[in-house]
Amino acid sequence: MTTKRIIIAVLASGLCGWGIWQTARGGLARTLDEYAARGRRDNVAAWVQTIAHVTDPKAAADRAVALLPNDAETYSALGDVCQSIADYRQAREAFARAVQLRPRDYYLWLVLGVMRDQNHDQEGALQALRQSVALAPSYAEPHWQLGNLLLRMDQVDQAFSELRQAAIGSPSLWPNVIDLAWGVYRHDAGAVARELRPETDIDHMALALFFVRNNQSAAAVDQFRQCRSIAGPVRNRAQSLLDMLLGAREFTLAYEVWARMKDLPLTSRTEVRDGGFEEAILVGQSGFGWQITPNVSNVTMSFDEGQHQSGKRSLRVDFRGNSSPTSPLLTQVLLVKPLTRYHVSVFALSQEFVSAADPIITLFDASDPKVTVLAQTLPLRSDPKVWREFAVDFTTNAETRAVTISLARQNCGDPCPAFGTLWLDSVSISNLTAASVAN
Amino acid sequence: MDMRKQKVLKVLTVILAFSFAQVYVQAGLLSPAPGAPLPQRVITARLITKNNQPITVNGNSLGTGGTILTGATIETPDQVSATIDLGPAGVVELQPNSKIQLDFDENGNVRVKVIQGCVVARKSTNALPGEMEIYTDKASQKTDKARTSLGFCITPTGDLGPLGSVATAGAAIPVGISGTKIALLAGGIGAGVASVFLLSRGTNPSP
Repeated sequence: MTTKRIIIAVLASGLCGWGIWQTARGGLARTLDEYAARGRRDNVAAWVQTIAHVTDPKAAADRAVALLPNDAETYSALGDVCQSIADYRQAREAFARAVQLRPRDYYLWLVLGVMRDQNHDQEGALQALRQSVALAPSYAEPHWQLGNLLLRMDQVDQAFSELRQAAIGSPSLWPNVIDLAWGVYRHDAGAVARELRPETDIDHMALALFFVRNNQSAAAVDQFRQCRSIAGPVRNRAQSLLDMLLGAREFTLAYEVWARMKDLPLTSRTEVRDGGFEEAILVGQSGFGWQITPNVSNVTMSFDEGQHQSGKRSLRVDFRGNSSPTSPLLTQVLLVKPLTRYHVSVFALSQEFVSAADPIITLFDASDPKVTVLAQTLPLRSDPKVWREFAVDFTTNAETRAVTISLARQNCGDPCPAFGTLWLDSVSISNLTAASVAN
Repeated sequence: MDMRKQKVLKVLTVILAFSFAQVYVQAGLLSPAPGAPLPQRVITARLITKNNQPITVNGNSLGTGGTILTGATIETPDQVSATIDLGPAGVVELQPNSKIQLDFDENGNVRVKVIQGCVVARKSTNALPGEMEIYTDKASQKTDKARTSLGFCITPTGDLGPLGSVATAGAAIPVGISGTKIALLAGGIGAGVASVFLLSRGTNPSP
């Protein structure tokens, strides 16, 4: 009985000792891995380094592999360390061994594929990356790496199929995919759109913004048209698209975007929107409605229901001192036809206005980069309490697609103060050419 | 010519005509189908970044394994270097805080415009006839038979200056010296400078 107990006790002690030894080896190897591959630098890591007699990450990773020679994690850490010191050959071997030990880990196949590619073994890389994709078909990174490899192997269609999958899994990759397609298809917007086949509204807008940044305004708006809804983040992107189209002087396309954002019907008719100042004006939002320059010193603008020439209110402009005379206070971009004669009319009322520079309405050719002046009204001064009409005719140039109607003061020196009040109402435009043809 | 010879000639003529017809049919089949525009062969490069950290390519974040196309603008952030593997044309190494515009073609011509920071260009083989060039708006340096590697930084005046603060004379890297040796050389010079500094520091003046 006693002998039996002694044998059991010895066996149990041996088993415990073996277990403790294995656990200690495992713990030591893991800590060395963390020091080597993940930069662990605490007291425990320093103590383990001392025990293992290692001084640098590579030596630590090698020691960890020696301690646990059948552990995928230690080989993975060794691969990471070798990669960080640009020893790509040993990194590849380490990852290959890690894959042997843990063949169902997509990440190990992924890094093995990357390392094989780095060692100019494209076929081996292809095999590893395909395995990684098979193990994790919903993850973006394997698709991304496989797509890039296929692209470098000149398998363009397959490459973009994988790259699209990557972008679906991780939308932050979409700009990279667009950029690659743009280069591969040599800046052919139509081919890029056909290859990428964006599905979501966000993807359409990403492509639209890329196109407009690369001077492909028509292709950009074509992507915008394919959006199912202009809401949420799509709306912000649509506003960016609108701003860029206006900056590129693509007014007809910009109007299409603006009209859809505002749920307005598309029209080719030239008109002043809200010429009677009956609707609210959103400051700082570009488009085809009235634009008010914010924070102009000593000038305030408001709607005045007490004074109006038509409708229920007018725009009131109060001048209270020195301000930049030629800075536009109020503008609106109007779509027009080239080589066409137009008539612009505005009603104004002034009260106790005193300045060396009177307010005027100017019409600029918005399509012209030099923004040439097409016409200008007389100074907007009226008899007290009597609305006066100011009218001007102008003819657009051959390239004119839009004009800017602008309220500012006449040019004068600095300082150039102004005091008094001006009301504006009933701004309108009519096509004289069409009228004469009709007559 | 007897009847038998005439028959043989006829058969040969038919076989020859049939063979030519096969060639023409095959040539016809090889032409691409109209409609879908296939891109020409794409010349690509592969990006490798330090510790797989992302850098910026054409304004987008990109890491190791990413593909670089000609005309790309490449920018490295602080403490992240990058290598662009151009295959048989060679490699371009970008130091941290650098920005370049990279152009390359199928003949191995590689043009690196330095916009910011420092860059090294190494021609790997003579398999391709092209040359590598590092340039700014004001200066240009090219590889030739005598030197297969170049390394330069853009100076505040827009010229090309030597690599790093410890100058490698002329900044043209001699033929046959590998990147590791260059690093060791630079490290050795740096260690030498540090040793001189440490030895000449004197004693601690504190009481």
